[in-house]
Amino acid sequence: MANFMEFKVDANKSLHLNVENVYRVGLAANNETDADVLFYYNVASAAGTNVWAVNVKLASAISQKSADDLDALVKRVNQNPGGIIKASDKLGDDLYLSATTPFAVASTVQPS
Amino acid sequence: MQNGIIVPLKGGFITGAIGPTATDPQLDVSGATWVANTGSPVSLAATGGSGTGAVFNTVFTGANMVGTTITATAGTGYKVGDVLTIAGNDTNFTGSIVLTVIEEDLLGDESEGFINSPSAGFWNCVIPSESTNYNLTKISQVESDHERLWSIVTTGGDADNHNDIAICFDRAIVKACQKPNQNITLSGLPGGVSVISVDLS
Repeated sequence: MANFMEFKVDANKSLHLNVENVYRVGLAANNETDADVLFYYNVASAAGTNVWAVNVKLASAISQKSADDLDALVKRVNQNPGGIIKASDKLGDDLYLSATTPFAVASTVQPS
Repeated sequence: MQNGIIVPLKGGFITGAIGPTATDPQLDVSGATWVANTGSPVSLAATGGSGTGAVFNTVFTGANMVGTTITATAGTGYKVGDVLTIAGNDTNFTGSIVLTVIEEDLLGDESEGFINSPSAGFWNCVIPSESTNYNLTKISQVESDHERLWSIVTTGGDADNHNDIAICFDRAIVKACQKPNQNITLSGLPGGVSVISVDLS
């Protein structure tokens, strides 16, 4: 059974990201804030140290602290098989997914 | 055993011609009596089956029924196995042509699509359609060292409802993942939206 994190699309709607195999959450850029948040997945890779990540694009930037909070939510929901946890618990009710390409999956490099 | 999402498809017809009757066993003209070839295709409505609105552009070749082909110009909600009756117009033929619908006749090549959970990987997220094509929603599936995408082609998607289409699939995935070994039938698409095809790439 999968575990999901729920992201708000607008005030009344939401989409879910399967976070069952996520081992780390961080900002895409090496900045204090960023609207792109990477969820790193522990899946097998045939290309050396490549890892797979989902880039969750938010409508506005969040801080590194907020990314760490999301990381904690992932670890929490993954203790409950079939669980769903709301990103808004840490990001607030007013932060939505980007209207353009809210989720993008790609191989990447190990986070530093 | 697995989980999956059953996706009812639009049940419209392909744009290609069906026939000719001489070689296509799904067209039965035994109940039709030839009258005349007036040279131009005629538009004839069909009755029967599980859908509505089927109209066929009927083309006659030669001076008998065996060269007749039909091409759908409308219709939704039809399923494989439906038997449709195309009544004659008395000018070209009397009686009726009977069409038995097969998979190849329908958009999406079937009556319903099925999105099954991967055996070696997992559904990851639903990717809403973008402004470049409001009728292409995707489901990301991560497997060992690669991503695969379910491409869901719809009709009726626009700037106002494309997120609602994605949310509909999102709910189905979450629901399917919450209980082992159950299939979820997709429901709740916005009004005017239907799914044409489901493909895994």
